[in-house]
Amino acid sequence: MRLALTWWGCLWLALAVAGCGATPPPPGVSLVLAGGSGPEEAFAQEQLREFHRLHPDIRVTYQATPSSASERHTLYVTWLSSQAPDIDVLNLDVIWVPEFAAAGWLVPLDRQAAAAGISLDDFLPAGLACSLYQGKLYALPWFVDAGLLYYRRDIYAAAGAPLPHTFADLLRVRSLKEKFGLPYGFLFQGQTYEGLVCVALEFIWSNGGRVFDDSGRLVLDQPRNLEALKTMVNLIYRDRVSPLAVATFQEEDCRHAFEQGYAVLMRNWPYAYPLLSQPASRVQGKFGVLPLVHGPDGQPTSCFGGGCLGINTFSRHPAAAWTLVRFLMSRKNLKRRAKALGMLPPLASLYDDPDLQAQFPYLQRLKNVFSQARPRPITPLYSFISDILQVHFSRALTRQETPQEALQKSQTEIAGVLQRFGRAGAP
Amino acid sequence: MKRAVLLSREARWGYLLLAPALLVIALVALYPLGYTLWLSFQQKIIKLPGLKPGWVGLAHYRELLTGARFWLALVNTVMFTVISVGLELLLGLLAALAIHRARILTGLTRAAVLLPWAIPTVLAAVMWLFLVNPAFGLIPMGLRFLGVSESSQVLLAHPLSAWAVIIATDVWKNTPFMTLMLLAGLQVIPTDLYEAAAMDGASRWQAFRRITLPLLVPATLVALIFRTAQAFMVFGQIYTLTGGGPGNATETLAFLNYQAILNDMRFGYGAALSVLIFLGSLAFALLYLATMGSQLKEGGRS
Repeated sequence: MRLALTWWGCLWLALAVAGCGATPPPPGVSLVLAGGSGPEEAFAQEQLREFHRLHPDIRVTYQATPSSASERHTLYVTWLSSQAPDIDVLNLDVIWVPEFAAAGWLVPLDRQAAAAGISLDDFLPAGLACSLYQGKLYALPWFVDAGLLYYRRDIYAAAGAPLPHTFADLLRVRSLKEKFGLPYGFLFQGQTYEGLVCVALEFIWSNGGRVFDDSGRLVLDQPRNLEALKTMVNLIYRDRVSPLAVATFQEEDCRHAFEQGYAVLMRNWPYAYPLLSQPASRVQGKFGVLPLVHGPDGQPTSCFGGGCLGINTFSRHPAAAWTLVRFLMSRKNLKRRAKALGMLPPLASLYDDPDLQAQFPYLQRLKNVFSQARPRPITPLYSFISDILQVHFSRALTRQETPQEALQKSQTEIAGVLQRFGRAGAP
Repeated sequence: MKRAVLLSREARWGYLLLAPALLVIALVALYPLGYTLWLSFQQKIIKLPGLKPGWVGLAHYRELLTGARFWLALVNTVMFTVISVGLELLLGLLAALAIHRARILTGLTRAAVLLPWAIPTVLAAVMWLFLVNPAFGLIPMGLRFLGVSESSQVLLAHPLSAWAVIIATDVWKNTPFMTLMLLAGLQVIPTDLYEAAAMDGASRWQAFRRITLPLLVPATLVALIFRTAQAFMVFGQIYTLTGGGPGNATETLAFLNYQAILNDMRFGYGAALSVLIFLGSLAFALLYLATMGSQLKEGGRS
């Protein structure tokens, strides 16, 4: 009995204290910004402190979301499909913009951008292309990514060999690998996942191939694409430049192996550069980056990736959300973000910035690669298409089907998806 | 007559007392099942709200049953279930018999045997991922030592060896569960039965065949039903080790279901697949009850 009374006493006391302590909500509006976790979150918090000083009437809370792209996608779709107003500004992967725009989940930004005097011409063209859906602007590119060819400068210098530029050069790397006793020649991402689609599309595009032609017709099953896919398979089985292990590799597997000095060449994103340059890396100062290799019918074309900022249609404070987007998109903040996180800015002019060039000596080369990079098919049905490509490209790499079969089956299956869901938005 | 009235009154009371439990079962088991069935006839893709949701009849079932991916996943799932649960039963029985007879360090052995089971599936799979890593894994290193070709050392790049790794992970992790269940079964067998058998001049093999095995049936049945239902839903190992690859060679029904619902957000299609998975699990459960259940009843009667 006494115990029970004491309990009640504590509870009431706690409630009373909580009541006294509760401050009235601050005046103005509160926003939520959703983005990555870890270093990205820490840096965002730092930027938000400054934002609060500049805009005392707007309070922004940072909502960290999973780093895995597919998990973050699931989370966003769950929020947005239930029309949740809780998240105001979203950090989106470039491949989600058409899907979310077609669903009506993103605020069109054309008018605001024009009113704010934001020049769209300065954005890297691929980044802008990813942010547009049916001619309207639904997001602003925030950082950009594209496939690069990492090479061992020391090995090429010692061998006096010319740098690789074409598929044929790549297929000859075996002799170099054997001469220097390295286990692997060329590493790329070949597991059944989105990364494989990026790599395969790079081989296809760099050979002048396409998935959709300019009129939006599906043209996957064509000779140039076949040649590209055959090259990938030959790298493993015929010319033994790449180990079969690449069929199980993602970005980090490649990066670790290259960092250990196991490979002559590696296809990877720019994120690997600062990591490979750390003192713990065995290739520190011994490597460089090149544009991707290309086939007889094409030019080096990297797969474009990266992130955008978009505003939730169901946000209660779209105007304040736009203020936040403009703040994050300012040249100064884009530059600071690049310096802090190595996430490269979407504005072409920033690549000529001496300060950034000092930190990233390879920036000029990146600018060239980025300006030639191409986005993956821009359609709300992209994830269905990617799922089909992942399976068949992987089957071709592991010789469960021929490159010819892989392209034919993908073509048939993708045509089926377009026919079934085409009404929801064809490319 | 009076007896019948009494019985019916008792029965009425019985049902009344059961009602809350039945209500809970209906709410947590039957309602979701019914909803899933209803959803499987609907078009509902939450990331394509432009697509009008609505009744599509059996279209999802038709799409599943005419697609090669479903059938491969079904064959994979059944094959995985039969092989891994079979191996776990065999190894679990051997381990249980050994532990049951152990006289020293019994607590320590039991704890040691249980360890893999206490590790979350994904962590166990990540450990195996390291073991089979082509660059530094212990298993490819051993294969290299044996002179196996370089490409065959990449276990996860070939459908058959990828399955071997997935099954090994499952057997490693789940044999302890089997062992534990069978050990419990062994411990309730009265020792006087063995004493009587020894008196009658039965050999140890005869005692094992005629006493241990039949009396283990109830424990085995429970363990098998648990493990089969779990194995039929195998997901964590696949997700972590292969992602369904190479290609779609290691896709199982639960993995396809994850793809359909969480990746593609096709709720109606995913629901149709869930219904088929439910029917598959049900078939396994009925099979066990039909074969071992009769034995169970006889065992109880004799």
